[in-house]
Amino acid sequence: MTKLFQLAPSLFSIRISDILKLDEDKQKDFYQFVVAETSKDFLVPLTVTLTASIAPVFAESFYSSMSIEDRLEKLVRGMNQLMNSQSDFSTDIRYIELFPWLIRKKLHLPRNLAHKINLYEKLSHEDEEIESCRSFVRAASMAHCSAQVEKAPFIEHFWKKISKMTDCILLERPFPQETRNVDEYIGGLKRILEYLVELQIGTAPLCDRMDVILGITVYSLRCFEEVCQSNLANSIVARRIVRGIFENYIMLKFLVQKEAGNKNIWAEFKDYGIGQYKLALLAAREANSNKVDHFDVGFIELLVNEFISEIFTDIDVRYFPDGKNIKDKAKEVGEEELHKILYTYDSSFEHGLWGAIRESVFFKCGNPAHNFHCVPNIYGEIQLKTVLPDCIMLMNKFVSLLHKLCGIPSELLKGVSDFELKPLSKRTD
Amino acid sequence: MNSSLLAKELINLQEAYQNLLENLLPKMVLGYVPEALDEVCIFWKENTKIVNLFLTTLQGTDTYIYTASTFLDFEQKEHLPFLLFGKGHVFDDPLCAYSEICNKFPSSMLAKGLRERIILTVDNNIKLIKNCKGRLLVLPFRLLSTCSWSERNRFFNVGKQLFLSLFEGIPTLDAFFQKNETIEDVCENLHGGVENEIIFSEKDNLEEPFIVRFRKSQKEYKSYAGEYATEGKVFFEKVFGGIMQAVDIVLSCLEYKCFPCFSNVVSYSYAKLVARSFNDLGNVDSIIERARITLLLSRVCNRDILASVSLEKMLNARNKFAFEDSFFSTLEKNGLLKNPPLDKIALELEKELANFYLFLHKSNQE
Repeated sequence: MTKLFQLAPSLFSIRISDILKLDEDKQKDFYQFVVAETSKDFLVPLTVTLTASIAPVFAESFYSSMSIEDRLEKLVRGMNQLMNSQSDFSTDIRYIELFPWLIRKKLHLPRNLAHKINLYEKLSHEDEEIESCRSFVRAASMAHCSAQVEKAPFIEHFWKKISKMTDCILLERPFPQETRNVDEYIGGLKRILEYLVELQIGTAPLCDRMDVILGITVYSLRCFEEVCQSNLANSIVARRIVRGIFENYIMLKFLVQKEAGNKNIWAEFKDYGIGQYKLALLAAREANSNKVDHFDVGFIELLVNEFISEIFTDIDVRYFPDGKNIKDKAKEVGEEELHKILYTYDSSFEHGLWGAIRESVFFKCGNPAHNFHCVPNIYGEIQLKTVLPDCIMLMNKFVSLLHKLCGIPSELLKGVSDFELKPLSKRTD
Repeated sequence: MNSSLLAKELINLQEAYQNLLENLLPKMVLGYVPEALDEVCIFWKENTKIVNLFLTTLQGTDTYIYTASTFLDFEQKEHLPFLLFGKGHVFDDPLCAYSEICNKFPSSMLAKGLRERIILTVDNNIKLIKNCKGRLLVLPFRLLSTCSWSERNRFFNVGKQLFLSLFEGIPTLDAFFQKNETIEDVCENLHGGVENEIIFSEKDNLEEPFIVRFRKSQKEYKSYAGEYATEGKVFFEKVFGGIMQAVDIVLSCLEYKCFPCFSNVVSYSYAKLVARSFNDLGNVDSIIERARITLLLSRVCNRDILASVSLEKMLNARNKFAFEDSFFSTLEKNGLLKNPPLDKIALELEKELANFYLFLHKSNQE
């Protein structure tokens, strides 16, 4: 460093951007000194960015037959060591950057801070006292860097070059593939529902209340079973399904709670749903085309007119009932916490919000030369964490509610409400 | 190319390459050839991904690659017959391959001839990019093909097996060197007929015996193994080198489904020799057949006539005349599509060219 400042007294930093601005002769002398004092090999890797046309003196001084791949590998290894801004190595570099400013009295610091920084050089990294010096070095360096108005063109050039010349290193997620078999648990749920269906048929087959209670539960079970049957537990769609099951559970619990004040609420729930079908049907008729293939106009028409002619069916464009949204309902039934976490998180997947997109389709690149950017994964190799435990948690909430409402024989509850999911083994590949 | 963003990138890349070469040329003249070539390699390393993406879009686009040549001589108008066939045109830039050679020797030991050839290539590349303006791209085709980067070792083994397959009962290279000290030994051990397929130099007269041709070519050849190298070793160097280059070219062309164009009969003959072993890989026959026709085209074409109009006009006339389609439909009409004799193709080419010259002349007057 002393040599460099002898050659260029006006220089205050040892940044490459500043060294490259020196006269060719001064650069040559300095590089020769570096080569004589250390080894050419240390700086050879930089010739992948400081090439003959960009930095002719540097390229000439450090040209070697080292392959481009080897040079890049050495640079990336060095960058990896520097990526942790709190590491000993990174702090050393920050100190070296500060040092010339300090010794030439161009950086004025409060006495205690200057003392700590001066001490840094004298202590080993194992010394306990260095801990307190490190943070001062980092703070002073960061403040100093941000105060420098002059641009360092090498930095921009370096990142542009190095990022294009190296490949992505895609980091795998720690979440294992869901492999646990829950057939017995699903079988248990089905036996409970079979019992309740039999109960309904035997007692009140025309009861709207039981239609809705069993309908919502069976619908949720089918959603859960589809996740299991199609091995979707680690997928995006599974999160949307979990959100749906949660919504169903909240609705059922809400209806049960509201029943005391409105005996007709079960029939109203059914009417509201058919009204939504009618709304879509009218739109399809107006468009006069089969734009949406899976919306079968003929069949939907049958359902809308199944019990009452559609002309007598109301369409309510608000949330059911009375415009209450899911958040309000969850609050009323005491599931606010679950709503805040589960519903908010899974809604990101439902609506394609950035958090969900980032989590489910982007790999993290571990190449420091790429500044840890993210890379979209087209082939679905990203494994999301399994939803199976949460599906079971929600289905068991249904079971508790049904037990409270109808009473389920304890024999049928065995293996369901006390079902324990074994821990999933860690990835071995 | 069907993507405008990619097309734009490629044009920018060619401009950047031209600027870089213009910047490096004076440095090379001053003697900094290895340093300058290193920057050329770094440039292509930096742009490998985008060029590879471009090369993958070449597939099935009727693209021709001018390869195995130091340069496509712009002053000698060599690019004009090359542009007659096909829709896409790439000159396989050899500068990165030269860099590999330079890295093996200190700058001071670099042969003057090689240095001069590199400088000529750089100068010619600049002219091609500047004057052809995207109609002909200068890219290190073989260096960038995926098989070249990642399968170098497998390449070597393929080349070795192909070389040994020229001989009767020689299973290894050691056995080859043991049994083949002189060119007479080599001639005796070659499979019958192979000696007529091996060409040593552009000046080879195939009427002359194999041994005579070899010895004549040796006079102009400097062996890597030194002046006391046996004839067997020199034969190996020449033929193995040719085979390796041909394997690289044929596999790269198969990978990107494009056609190679050769400027010399030696490279073509090795490609033909090698292609026989890749019969089960894609359209290797048509690759070699097109290479034969384009080599012939470069010989029979009157470049001065093509150069009598601007490049723009020549290419417009080519498109309107549909030179390639017209020529191949004539071959088909005359039953000459499958392995026709060289003299018949030459005759048809000359006729087609004569019609094209007339068309060009008329178009120019319109």
